[in-house]
Amino acid sequence: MFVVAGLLVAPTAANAQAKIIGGPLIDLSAAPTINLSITDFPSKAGLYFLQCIAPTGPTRPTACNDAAQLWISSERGANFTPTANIVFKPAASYKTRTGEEIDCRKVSCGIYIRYDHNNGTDFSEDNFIALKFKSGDNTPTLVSDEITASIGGVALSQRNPITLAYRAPGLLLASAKSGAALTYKSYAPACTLVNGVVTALKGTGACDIGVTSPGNATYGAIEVHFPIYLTPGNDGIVHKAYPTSMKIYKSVTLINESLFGEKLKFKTSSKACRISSNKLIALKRGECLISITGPGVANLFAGVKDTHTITIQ
Amino acid sequence: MRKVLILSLLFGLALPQNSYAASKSITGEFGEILTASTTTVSDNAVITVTGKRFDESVGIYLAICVIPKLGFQPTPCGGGVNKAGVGEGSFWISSNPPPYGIGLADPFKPGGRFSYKIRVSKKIGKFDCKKVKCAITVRADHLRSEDRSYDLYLPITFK
Repeated sequence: MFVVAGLLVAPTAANAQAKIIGGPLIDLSAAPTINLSITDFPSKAGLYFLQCIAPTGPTRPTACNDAAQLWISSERGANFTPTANIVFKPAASYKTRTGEEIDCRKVSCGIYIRYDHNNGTDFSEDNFIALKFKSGDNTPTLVSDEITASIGGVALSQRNPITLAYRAPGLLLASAKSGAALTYKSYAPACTLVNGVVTALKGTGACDIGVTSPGNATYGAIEVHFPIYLTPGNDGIVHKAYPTSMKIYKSVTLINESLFGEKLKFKTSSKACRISSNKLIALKRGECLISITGPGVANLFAGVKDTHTITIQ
Repeated sequence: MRKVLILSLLFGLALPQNSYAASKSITGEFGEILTASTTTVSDNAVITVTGKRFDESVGIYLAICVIPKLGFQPTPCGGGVNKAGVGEGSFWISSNPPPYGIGLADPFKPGGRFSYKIRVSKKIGKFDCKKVKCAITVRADHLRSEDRSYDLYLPITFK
């Protein structure tokens, strides 16, 4: 990866495909604006741009500025598309989410670039663009607000995505250390976020839930992105829609559509009843055990496999 | 005269509308299924159109449109694009619409389903569906208006 700003050329990552041009990268004020553009954007996934201290080993840096993070992707909800003029706003000093104070005039900071959550374990686009800030430009540092969140009782993480099944409703709960009122947004079309409930609309891929705190006098504003991996769901039936008891010699037409709209098949080996298509006839007193099945859809949901018991009286 | 008659018959048999007219269901390239209660209709009739297994992350319009040339966007359509989400001629179905579409677009039901009653008019603007080919049409909404991979046509025949 080459970065050109004036005559600055950043170190080249061994396998990085993306080439980034822009600046300024040196003699930066306390709150600069850096304009960047990308060519040869990788096709596998999007990229994250993060302000972090320089990595010292093979692991990704963790002392990053949560308030200076960008998602570059063609997906809806990204901060910038791959062909856009990217505006990155780092800070001369910041506090990490663990409270560590980072002064980029004293330690080496820069823009850390990596694949986004769609290809998070691939390090081939990992790269670092060094930034140099002017000394003596002091501005007060606010600790970025801290947001904790969960979906369906499972804690969300920015780095370790949880999984959410297709159409399994997940109640999103979040709070900020500042106590400020939070706002929420689903950045990916594969998930909806309505009245605090996140619903996956696909059985594969990923979603990105953004939670924003305006901060307060003590804590700085922040938007935190929580990636979620999607998995196939399970179709089902509403047992309440089926009778639990019937009089002998009576018949009933069973609802033959699953929760996801698939056509159901009914079978029984019980002598107390007989089923033809979805019409059940009560023949003898006793238990009528019905086997209910329905088709699944690949990569979306597994079909119905359930039973229901009706007492014939 | 005999030659003209034979040519007319051959041309009539070659019309795609005739070959599809009896079909009440069509499956799209992503496995989505569009079904109509009938495709042989009279003017101003109301038909039930259902869909299932549609990709719920992609908003769609459902309308009666003039079938365009292959690869072109379906237009004109009865009811327009219907960003307002009202009327009986076209419907906007999206589970994740932009902010201005919240409350206007109808979300998909689980399983990528929808069901609407559509009033069918043989006139779409200046076009007469007795003279041009019209169809119950699905296309991606205006967020993906150039994406033709979501287009589905279920041709209709007017009595």
